[in-house]
Amino acid sequence: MASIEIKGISKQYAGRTILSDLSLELQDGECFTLLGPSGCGKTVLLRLIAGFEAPDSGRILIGGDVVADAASGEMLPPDKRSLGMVFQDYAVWPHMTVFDNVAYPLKLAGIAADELKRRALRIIDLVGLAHLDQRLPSQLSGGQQQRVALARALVSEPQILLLDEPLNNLDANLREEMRFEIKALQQKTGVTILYVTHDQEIALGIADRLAVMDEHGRLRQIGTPEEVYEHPVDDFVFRFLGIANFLPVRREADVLHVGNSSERWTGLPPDKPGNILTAGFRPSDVVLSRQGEGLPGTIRRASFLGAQFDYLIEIAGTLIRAALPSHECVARDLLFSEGDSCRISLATVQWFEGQIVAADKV
Amino acid sequence: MNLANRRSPRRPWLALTILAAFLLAFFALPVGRMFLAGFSDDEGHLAGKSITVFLANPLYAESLFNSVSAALGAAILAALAALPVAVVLWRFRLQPPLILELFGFLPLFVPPFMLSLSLQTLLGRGGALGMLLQPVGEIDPAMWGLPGLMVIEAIHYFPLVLMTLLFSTAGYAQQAHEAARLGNSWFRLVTRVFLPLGLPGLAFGMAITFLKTLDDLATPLSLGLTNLLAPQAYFRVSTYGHMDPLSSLMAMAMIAISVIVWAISAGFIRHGATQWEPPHRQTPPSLTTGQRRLGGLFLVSIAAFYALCYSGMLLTSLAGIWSHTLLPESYVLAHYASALENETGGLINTLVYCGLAALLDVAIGLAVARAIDRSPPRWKKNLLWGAAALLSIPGVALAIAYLQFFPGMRLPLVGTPLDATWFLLPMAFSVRGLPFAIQAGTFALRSLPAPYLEAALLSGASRLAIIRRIILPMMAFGLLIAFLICFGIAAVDLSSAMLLIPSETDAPVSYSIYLHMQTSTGRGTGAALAVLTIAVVALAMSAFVLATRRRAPVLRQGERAAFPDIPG
Repeated sequence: MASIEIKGISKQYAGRTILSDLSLELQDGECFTLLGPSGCGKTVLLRLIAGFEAPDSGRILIGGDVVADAASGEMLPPDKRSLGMVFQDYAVWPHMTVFDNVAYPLKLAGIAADELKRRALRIIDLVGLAHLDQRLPSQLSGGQQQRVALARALVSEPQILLLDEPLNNLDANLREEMRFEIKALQQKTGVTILYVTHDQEIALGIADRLAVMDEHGRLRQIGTPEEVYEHPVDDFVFRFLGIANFLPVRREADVLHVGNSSERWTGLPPDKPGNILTAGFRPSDVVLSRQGEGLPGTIRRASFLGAQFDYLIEIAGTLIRAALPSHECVARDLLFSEGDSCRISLATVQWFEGQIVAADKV
Repeated sequence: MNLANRRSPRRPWLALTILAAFLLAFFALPVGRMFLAGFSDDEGHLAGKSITVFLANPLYAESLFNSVSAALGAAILAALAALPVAVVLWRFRLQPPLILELFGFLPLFVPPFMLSLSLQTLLGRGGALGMLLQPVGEIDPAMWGLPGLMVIEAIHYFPLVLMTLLFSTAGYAQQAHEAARLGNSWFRLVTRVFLPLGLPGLAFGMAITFLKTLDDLATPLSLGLTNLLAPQAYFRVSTYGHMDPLSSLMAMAMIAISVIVWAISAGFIRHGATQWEPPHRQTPPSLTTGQRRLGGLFLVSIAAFYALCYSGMLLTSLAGIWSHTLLPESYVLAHYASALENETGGLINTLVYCGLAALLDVAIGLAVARAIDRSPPRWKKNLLWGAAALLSIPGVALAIAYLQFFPGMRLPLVGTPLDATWFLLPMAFSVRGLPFAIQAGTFALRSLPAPYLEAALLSGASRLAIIRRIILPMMAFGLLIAFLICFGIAAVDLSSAMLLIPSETDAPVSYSIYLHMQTSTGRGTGAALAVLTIAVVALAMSAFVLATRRRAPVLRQGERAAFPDIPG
């Protein structure tokens, strides 16, 4: 398998800078996810690695070898980069059967008929499509077509597999199932995977490491899913990885107050200096009670979502969301109605310097 | 890994250069030369004398007025007929079968002079209904003058206006029904929803009717009408030769009128409230049996009207002896035998000219569609509208431009003068078919989204293998449709053909039909040829419907229609 090194890559389209001086390293055999909002340039980066686009500046190395170098203007064509790629819209050739689709790269490589058949059927079996090899794509479901695309990308035993939001067109159940299967396949084959997505659930679930990209094509943070989720470097990363609550906190003579109110902050102390701070936390970090310790709040909206209750709570003029398991709400008498008073404390808090405007809809 | 196989993306300069050269040689330069000729005196100096002559001659002023009146009248009549029918179909959400929808486009593939000749056979003094209704009054279209031309063109283009109107309103028929259920009156829905939605389709259908009628040479001549721009330009070229400045002026007047009308209609089409949507994409309505029967009867009566209109042609093709009787006295197949035996030359000529033009159109249309697809988004719309503006170049004007530009030029190697060969005819057909080809090319490209090619590139397929194994199989259907559309458009372009064919032996079948129908002895053969032509078009359309039904929906909506570079 192979590593990928991206060094100082820039790319413009029609005068608009998509990527600017971007550097990134993928280690041999890891499953790396590039997570970012739509239009941030993550697919462009994937296409640059695949060789469908040429960088305006910078270099790309695969397995230590230069495959694109803007300075010399030279590029290795896509088929010489030992890559497989699965596209968002499958791109399974509609006029070929499953077998023909999967066997096509082997046929082009001049593999002998017996060997070709053995390898194609093995990979078709691996993706769970045994006995469907003579079907046309139009006779398959979306999930099955995606498996054909995966089998076709893997059949040549590439060193690197590029996945461009391949699960977007699938329904939620199938998406989850395929997510596990891709991870299992990677563990079986050991192929280096670069998976591009805007879905944080998939990114966190599948990656060994991930990078969060902002809307300007800059990498904000790289790390393991746990590192990035638990220790986001800034509020962008924090917001992007799930529903984010922000409570403004001010420090006056070493005493912490919530917002502009006289209400004292009762939670964990900040690990950041400064007098104007923001406490960031997830709805699941909120510990709710009817009375006792904690910040006082008022329930503004109560929604039953089946497995959990979703509460919108006003704390010193700021609205936050809290999510509690339904069974816990029932067991601990935490079934609130609109207008009820409550108390909240927080299991974990991410501290940010300065005041952050909570842009998320509540 | 070494860099021995380094490749940089190839720019399609060669294709673009060939395309630019084609448009320059067969469109821009000839039309530019014609403009100069129209404003030049006998010694080649720029002068406005010919304009003074043109405007001073009452015949030409009348021709100008008649041409605009006839085209406008035909467009308005077709619209007036199509509007109530479209409202009824929209109101009851009656969905014509796909085959009937396609026959709505038949006017583009059958020349209107066939309808004129058929109606004359039927309604003329010696014709079936004409003789029967003689006591009531004169119903021979040849005796109606300009209104006769308007009515025939309107009947001919009515299905097209109806279909474009339906396409632009279909998307909201279901919502209108739901709104009506909530208490909105149908009158209000028609005036506030149907008409604004239908305006783009109506404008497009009317524009095509106007442009085609203005350019029509054979239909007015078949009715004995000569005081129109196209026939006058034709006569001037035939009498005074191709360098006649007045014929250039008439051609320029036709171009100017066409451009103005196209620009006005484009304004309506571009600012339409909705995207066009084929009616069959709607959820099928739940109609009662009675409503279904009434709807069926409504559609059948429209189809029956057209069958009746063309029955004159069919009866003539089968008639042994037919003179001053309601129906032929005897029926024979001799005219078909004669058509197939003696007119194979015309059929072969049509196949050669139209096939060549359609091949060129498909290649150029695809290249232009791809270039437009890859252009910056802010240019795309303007480029598409610029390409569509070629619709406003009348065949008569283009033919006159060719006749003035190409004399003196000789075919390389053989040395024959260009205007003494049939070579110019497919070129003119091709330029005239380009707007349709570009649109068809855009649709063909949509059947090949970029990732399908990129997947092949990653597999290591060569350029040739990608074309053979991926591009051609996936685009075959779209390319075939594009070819058939361009072929059909070329096959009915009699205006260019009448001016550009060097001899009768080089004539395409449409011209042969026209010539045969002008003689009393050849009418049967001409009619048989016309019926055969319509049958071929009908068969091609039916085959298209069958192929469409069999074709599984392999692509999802919203797929990228881009067409990436294939590194060579």
